[in-house]
Amino acid sequence: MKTTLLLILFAGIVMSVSSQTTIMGRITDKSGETIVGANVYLENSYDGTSSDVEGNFSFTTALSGQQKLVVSFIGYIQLEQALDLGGEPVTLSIILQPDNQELGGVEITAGSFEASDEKKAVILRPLDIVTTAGGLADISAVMNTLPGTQTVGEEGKLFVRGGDSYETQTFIDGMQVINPYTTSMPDVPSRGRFSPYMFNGTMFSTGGFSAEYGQALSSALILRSNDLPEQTVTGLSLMTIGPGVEHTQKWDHSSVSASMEYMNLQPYFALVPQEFDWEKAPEAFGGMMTFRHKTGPDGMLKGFANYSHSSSAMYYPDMTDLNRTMLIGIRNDNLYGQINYQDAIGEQWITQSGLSYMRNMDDTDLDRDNVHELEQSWQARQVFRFLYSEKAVFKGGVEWMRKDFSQEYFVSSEDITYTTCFTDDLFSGFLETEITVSNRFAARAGGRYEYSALLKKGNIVPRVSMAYKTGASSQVSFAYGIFYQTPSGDYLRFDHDLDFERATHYILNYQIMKNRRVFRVEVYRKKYHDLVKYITLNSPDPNQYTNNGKGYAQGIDIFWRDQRTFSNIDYWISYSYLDTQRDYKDYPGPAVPTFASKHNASVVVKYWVGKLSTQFAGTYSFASGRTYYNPNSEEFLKDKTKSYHDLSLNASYLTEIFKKFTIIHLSVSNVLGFNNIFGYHYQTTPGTDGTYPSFAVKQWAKRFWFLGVFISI
Amino acid sequence: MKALILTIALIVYSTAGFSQKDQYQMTMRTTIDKMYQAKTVEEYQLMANTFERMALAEKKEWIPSYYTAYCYIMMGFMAEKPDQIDPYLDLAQKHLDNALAIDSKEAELYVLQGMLHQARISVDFMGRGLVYSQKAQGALEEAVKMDPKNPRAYYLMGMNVYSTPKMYGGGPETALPLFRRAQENFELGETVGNDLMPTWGKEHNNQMLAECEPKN
Repeated sequence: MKTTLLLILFAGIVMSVSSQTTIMGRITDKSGETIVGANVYLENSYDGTSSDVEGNFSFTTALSGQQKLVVSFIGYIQLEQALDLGGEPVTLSIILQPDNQELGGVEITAGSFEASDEKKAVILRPLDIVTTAGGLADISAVMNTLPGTQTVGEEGKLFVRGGDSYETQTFIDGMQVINPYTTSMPDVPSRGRFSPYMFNGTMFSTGGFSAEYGQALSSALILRSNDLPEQTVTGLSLMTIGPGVEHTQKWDHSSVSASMEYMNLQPYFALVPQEFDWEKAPEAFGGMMTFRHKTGPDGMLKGFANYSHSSSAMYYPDMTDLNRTMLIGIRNDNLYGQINYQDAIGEQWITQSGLSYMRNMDDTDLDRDNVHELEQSWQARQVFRFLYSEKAVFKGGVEWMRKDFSQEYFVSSEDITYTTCFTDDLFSGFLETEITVSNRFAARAGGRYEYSALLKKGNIVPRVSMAYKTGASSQVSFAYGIFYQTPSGDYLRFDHDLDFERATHYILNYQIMKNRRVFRVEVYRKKYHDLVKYITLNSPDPNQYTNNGKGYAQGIDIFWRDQRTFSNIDYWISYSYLDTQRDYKDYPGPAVPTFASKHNASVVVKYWVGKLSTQFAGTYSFASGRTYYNPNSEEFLKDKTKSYHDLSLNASYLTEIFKKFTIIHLSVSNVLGFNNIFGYHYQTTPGTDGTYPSFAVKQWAKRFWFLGVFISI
Repeated sequence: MKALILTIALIVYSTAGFSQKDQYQMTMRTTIDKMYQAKTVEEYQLMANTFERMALAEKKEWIPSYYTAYCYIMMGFMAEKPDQIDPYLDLAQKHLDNALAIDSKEAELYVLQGMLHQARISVDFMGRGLVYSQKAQGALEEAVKMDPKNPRAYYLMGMNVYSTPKMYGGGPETALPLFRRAQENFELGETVGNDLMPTWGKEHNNQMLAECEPKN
């Protein structure tokens, strides 16, 4: 009995010894280079080791039968191999494949510039938007330092690749924002309504964007709002243009913030002489409320509402007789609010919902006449994302947007008020898939459908883009798409029987991004069809409007950014070449539009001086001459302004005031005092000598100074 | 004879039948000790590999994932080229998330999250400094909320303040009370009951204290 027990025990020991298997081998990459420090192990066991300096490894295991060997190392795709273990030593030669995903991955970059803190392979950081000289913390002004944009100094809006400003749309968390710019006087540039501090992600697409976004012929500015703030904070800003105050209260899963600001340029205008004859300097006040609530591990409810009221008045040349002036007064009232909810449904589905409302009222006095415009929009949006696998994502969504516009034009000489209005319901839907075919190749393909109840027309368009990684840090991308946009309200209020305007984009992009340097070059061609044409501006006769306009834009955009070569210096250079012509509006034939300049370039430099706790920044912008309409000239739009130059500088000094973190910011535009001319306006009728007198459209002042003190309490 | 059988039985039992828990404790203990001796990226890589294997085999323990993340953060601090830092830290975050999924109430994990955020700053001081030092502060405050006696949370808060320029609320003087508080907590004695818990930080905290103490 005892012997038997002993035997059994010994047998057990012998068996456990005999079932030990040695697994050994060598790990290299595909070029034969040894991989040192790779993790080699049998799944779900303690048995494993790391490869040594020669790439060799060896370990024993008591496990037997079918087992899975796993080999992993940073920057390489994890390798899994089935082994049948039976005591015989196993010798393996293992080759790991590079994982391009980890080195930034293959990402579709055709047409888009992204600023984000979360993603690695982006060209900009959100902070760049607030520190760029000449930008004055205005998102569109900073985007204007990127290639693909044209400087149009008297508008201040985004003009992209030969497109008019209305062809660029702004989206916040997927919702289209009508009226993203402040209302301003003629020839006075407007600013974006939304502060860059609201967003932690900005994607500026100069074409070829996803089927998720519509109603933009040229470009989309896609903004993603902040998530829960990091902490409770109060901010105070004292600026030469007025004060502001902001408070953010943070709880575990929620936050609420409120801000108020008041702006008045009167004191500034009293100090710095202005080119324009202001009767009332621009004055504005506004407020904003924001809330965030984390409803669960993946659920987030966000909302904000923004209100502003502004007014200004100035004497502007009377276009019927330039020797006289007329008083123009503008009052604007804008309310915008939206709510978004995002959550995960199970493991694979994500739902995103949004609702928004906008109300914009412009009340303009033109001498004794008055124009009262009211525009409202309502939007509802539902998007689902289905994460089929790590490599395939499907998304689809539906949108409804109602736009309601009315204008009352009071003509004092006739004592009559003319009313025009329209309401449009736009229904849209999209489906898109993003597939990472291999670690070198990714593609996105989708389609978008839109139906306008006002136009009684629909359209369906394809959008395709793809990227191929040509090296560890370089890639080529391509994008193609058709883009539709409902004609402007300026025409729809007279003629409801128009069709969508249409553009087709082809974009080819090469990008290399390595060790904090980026180089990219992009060539594109855009064709325009069905642009609205008319005979005379603001004609109430619907028969005057057609969709017979067309045009094209093509060019090359080059971008270089370097944050490495010079210590504490970060700079980027953009250059855009644009060749464009279009026949739209009241053009007699194809011509280069007034907003297009052939060459645009910017150099942006930021220099951090640690000893002074100060960041200095400078931006130089150049644009070659733009066409303008000269009725004295034989040919239409053949005259050109001289080229545009601007050097803007700023300095941000980080300090403390009463132990509170403070930023003092000083900036000045056009330091060198270039006398920029944006175009000429001509009298509507010729003078006694038979020629049309004119005046030049200039900057509202040669330089703009700004001093602000921002305190965090 | 009976004694012999018993002895053999015991030997067999204790070698072959070593409970998995004991093996876990032993392997972890030796690897942790080795890890504190690591000085190069390569050495940390070996430790990270061992911890990762432990984490994969012990799916209910957060500690192996914690140390895997810790190793990758250290590798991030040591990386020579700026492009290498983020990939290490991304891996660290993956393992830390894994640990948080196992135990979301462990203060040490928030301490490590704070350190991970701090490590991100070195990639781009100008661009990331403000955002990531705030994120780090947020995570460390969370850790203190869960365990006011945690010394490493105060030590890293001290580091956060210390590396913030004096001009805006940072510098040695402001950091000093935090390093002191960390020292007090270190003196309270390290976590009782589980000798696998992290112990790092004390030595460097003492160095920082010496550096920040006003010199007469």
